[in-house]
Amino acid sequence: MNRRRFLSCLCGAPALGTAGLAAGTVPATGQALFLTSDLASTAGQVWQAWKEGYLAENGRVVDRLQQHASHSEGQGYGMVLAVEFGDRDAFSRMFDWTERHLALRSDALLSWRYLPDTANPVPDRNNAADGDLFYAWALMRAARRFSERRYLQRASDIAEALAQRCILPSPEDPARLLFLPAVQGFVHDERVTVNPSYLMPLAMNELAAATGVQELAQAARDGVALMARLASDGLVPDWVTVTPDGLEPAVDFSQNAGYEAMRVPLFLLWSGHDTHDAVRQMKRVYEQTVRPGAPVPTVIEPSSGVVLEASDDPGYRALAALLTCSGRAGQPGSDIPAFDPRQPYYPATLQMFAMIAVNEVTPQCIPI
Amino acid sequence: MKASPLEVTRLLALSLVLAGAGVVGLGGAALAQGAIIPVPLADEDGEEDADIVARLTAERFAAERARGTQRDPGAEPAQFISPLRPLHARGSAAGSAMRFDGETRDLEFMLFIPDPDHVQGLRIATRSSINVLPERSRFRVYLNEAYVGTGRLENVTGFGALDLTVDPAMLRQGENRVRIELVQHHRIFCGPDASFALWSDVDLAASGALLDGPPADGGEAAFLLGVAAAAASGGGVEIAGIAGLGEQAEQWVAHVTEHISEALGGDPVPFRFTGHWRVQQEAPSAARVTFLPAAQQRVQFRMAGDGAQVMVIRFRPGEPLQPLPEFETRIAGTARPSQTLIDGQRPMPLSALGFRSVEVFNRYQRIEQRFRLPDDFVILTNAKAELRLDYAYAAELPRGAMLLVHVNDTNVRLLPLRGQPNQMIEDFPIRFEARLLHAGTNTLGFEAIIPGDPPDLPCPTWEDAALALGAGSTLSVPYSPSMFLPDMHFAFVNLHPRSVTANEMTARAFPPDDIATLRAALVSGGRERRESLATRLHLLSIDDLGSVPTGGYPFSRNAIEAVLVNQPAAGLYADAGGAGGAGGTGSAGGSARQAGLLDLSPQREAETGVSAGWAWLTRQASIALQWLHPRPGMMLEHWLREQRGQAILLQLDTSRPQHIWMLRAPGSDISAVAGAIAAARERGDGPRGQVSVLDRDGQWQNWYAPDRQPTLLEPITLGNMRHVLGNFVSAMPVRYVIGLFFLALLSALVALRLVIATREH
Repeated sequence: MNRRRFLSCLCGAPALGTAGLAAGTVPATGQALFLTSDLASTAGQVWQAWKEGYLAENGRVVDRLQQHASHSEGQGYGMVLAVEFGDRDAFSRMFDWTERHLALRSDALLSWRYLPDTANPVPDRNNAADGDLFYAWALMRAARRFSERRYLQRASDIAEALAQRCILPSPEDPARLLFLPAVQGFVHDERVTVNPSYLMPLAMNELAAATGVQELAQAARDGVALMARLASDGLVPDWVTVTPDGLEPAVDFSQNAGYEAMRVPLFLLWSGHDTHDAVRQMKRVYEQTVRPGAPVPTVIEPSSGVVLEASDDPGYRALAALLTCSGRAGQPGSDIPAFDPRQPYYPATLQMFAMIAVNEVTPQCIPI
Repeated sequence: MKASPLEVTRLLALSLVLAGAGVVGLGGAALAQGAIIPVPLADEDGEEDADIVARLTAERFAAERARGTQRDPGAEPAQFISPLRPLHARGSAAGSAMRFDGETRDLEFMLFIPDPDHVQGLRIATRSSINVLPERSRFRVYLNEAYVGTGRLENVTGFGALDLTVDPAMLRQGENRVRIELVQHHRIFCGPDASFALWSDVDLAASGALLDGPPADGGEAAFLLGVAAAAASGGGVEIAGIAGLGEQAEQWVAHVTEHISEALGGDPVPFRFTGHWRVQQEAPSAARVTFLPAAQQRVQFRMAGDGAQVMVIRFRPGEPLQPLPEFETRIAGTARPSQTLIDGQRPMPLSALGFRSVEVFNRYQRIEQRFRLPDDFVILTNAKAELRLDYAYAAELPRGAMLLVHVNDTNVRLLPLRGQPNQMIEDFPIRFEARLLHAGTNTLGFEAIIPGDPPDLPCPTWEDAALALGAGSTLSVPYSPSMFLPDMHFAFVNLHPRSVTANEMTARAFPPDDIATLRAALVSGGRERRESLATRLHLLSIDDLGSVPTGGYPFSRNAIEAVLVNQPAAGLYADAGGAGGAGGTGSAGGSARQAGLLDLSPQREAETGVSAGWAWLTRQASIALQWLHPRPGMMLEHWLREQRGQAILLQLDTSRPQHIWMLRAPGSDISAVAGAIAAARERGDGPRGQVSVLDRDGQWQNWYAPDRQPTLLEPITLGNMRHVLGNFVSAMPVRYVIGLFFLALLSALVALRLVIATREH
């Protein structure tokens, strides 16, 4: 099976070129006047600022706001960015550090967190499926961009491990697959708690095509459908529980649309689902609440749209600006602010993703 | 790369042992420090320990709740300042505070208000010298000529702000005018010296209209507000997206930057190019011009996510620049007064030059009036001009009170203020050398100096003026034939944005941002219809110094480098005097410099024997010749040795009077250079002669070639012959003397021949 998937990924690799937009081509979804560009040349200083702000010399992505911890998510995010900017050195450093410090499990997955300056920096060996997903996606893209086959093998191992341990049939409809947040802790009896923001359809589809692990693609499809159901009458929440009887609020988990769920419309848009209900709902809230000079909503009550928390970190404003601009006719240019490396790691990295999403999917939303 | 299961088990066991030892042995030190105590892990492939998983999962959620800098969701936008914009160029770098010096000052500013209903007040932030006596020193603020309020000058350790209440009815949407009057008193002394020690700064970026938040939809007024803020902070206006303009980029950028500069006037606005994807600078961007491709050309004013006021110009790719009526009519330029031209020999009332009667209440005050003479005005003779002054002064002024009259910074008269107090002295004649006047802008200055009485106590307040100068005073300028004396002033005041010329080496010294800023600085302040003159400002890097036409004034690269590169004056030329006759005993560099100083020739080869003696002889002859008849090129070198500056302008080739060559010091602030250029053009003074250095204090130091010759621009007639000959002779008296000598010699020979011939008979 491994060999079959490996071969299929080699065959699929050239086709991946069409998944993203090559520099200088006119995007199908953007206005013909706006072209995608090579971010390494048009936004090189932004990438440099991100590295200086959050990447340690040894390849560890540091989240200062959380005890200077590192997460598999951050390593994966950083490596996706490094590939995007063609920075092989930064990619290698992050990869090496991650393999040394987080690849501690018996399977191919990563432990989710590293706490520096502690006796046991990895007290919890559990994984985070989104971190594994981005890590594998970055490796897959790096294999193509840097012509390094060993990266693809590692990506393939992770994809298989995710399929085996973090994808399972939905209790509501066994024909549909759910993407678990982690190997442990989210399945209780027949109740499965999932985090919609852990799904990144583009990553899952590309990874499935490259590795042959089709469960990822199906989980992505089913996840997008699940998000559409959740967004039918409000914002997609951070967590939701799937039971044989349907969807329920996740008890003991955040039921708001907060720091987790804000990634949902971003990842959907990046994946080309710019008319998805989850995007539309969040866009509506942003249009109603975001004002110049005032903080941007970060935690929102999903059904009422009441803002519970807000922040003036530029990264969150960038998300709002991207969504507000996408699909808007007649007024190109978005209000995405300049990248500020003084903001915390998380909004900074989401802002980098927003930049990539603009470049690949909605180039008419280039910042004014 | 990855740990095997066995290794993992061993590591886990080891970590558990170590952790346990730590807990027991260290008495819970880890707990005390808040460290996470390792817990037994669930078997990844076996049963889950529900409690442990629940605790670790909760820990995970806790982490997810801290992912940004939290703010109160209901927080209102912070107050926002629409900053003051000085009406006139100051010649200082962008982002600096504005200084008021002396006992009284009165300055005017523009203030852009997108919506008067959002104005909460007027804020003035000041900082004063320790010498300022706060109890009696104050500033008054006027908005659109209506009084707003008064504040005390009491902040000596740093800037302090005073908020004044403003009635919205006093405000206009768009451009408003603010006038600040300062009155300062010395806390200890009285007199001119005390006056020099008085100053107060106004922080322009922190002074202006207080708005209840950033203007989101303020249109062009909000954009101009942003531009004013960009200039006040020194950040400059960003220009984004020019890559898409292709070959039209230069034309578009020139059009936009020039129009913005014209609309704002005053000190030049710095511009800098950016991409669409930017990194936040220390201070957020305040204004930006962004080019976006579109099917239809149009202009929009928007506010960006970083708070910058943005003018979005949507252009049709590949098409040349089209008129932008939304931009050109909504952001209109302000008419600026220009100097009055004096033409003719009749007495000209100073009121016709723009001078208004002045009353002096200060111990020291300088009053200046600028006027313009025709560009073909040349008087080098001892012809006299005359000022007939109307003035009066108070009784019982302290001994030593005086009024100095200056013409172009040369004192021409000292008038003691005693003898005829409390009466108007009319038509008091002050004759002065007309050669102090020159073509173009001239300055007539009055300097009132009234000692303190006593000088070591604060000045008493004067209810009445100590001195008054009447606008009915007249100025008479004698006739000048139409002549031209080489001077870069004519090219300088006629420069326009398209005069700026760059070559392939320019970028080494002038990045594109700086060129755009310089071009914008040349928008205003010059003469009318200057575009019709083919003036050129060549921007050079020091490596391209060889392309400067030197005329008859060769100079060395070292001399220019010494001016622009920050080195001690003595460093480069320390051995210039002593090594002169040493026959090459100095260092190679010293010899080269010596060559540059003495005969401006390349470094000589080693000199020995007869050749050394010959070289010594010629060198001494050269020194003697230079002593007898100084050569201008060497004088220029000597003059340059004394200069240190930010930029240097050269016009040494008299056959190309419309061209100026410019070099700048490495690392110099282009906004300071552009500001000095704009201020000089607005005032009409600044660079003159053949070489002009902008020194570190923002003053222009000029060098005039001593042998520059006038050129006659009209036919010689009986009427102008005397004046023309007078000018030619005065320009080069040695030639006149030599001519007369040969004429006398010829006459003597003829007379001798006549005598001899007569004796034969």
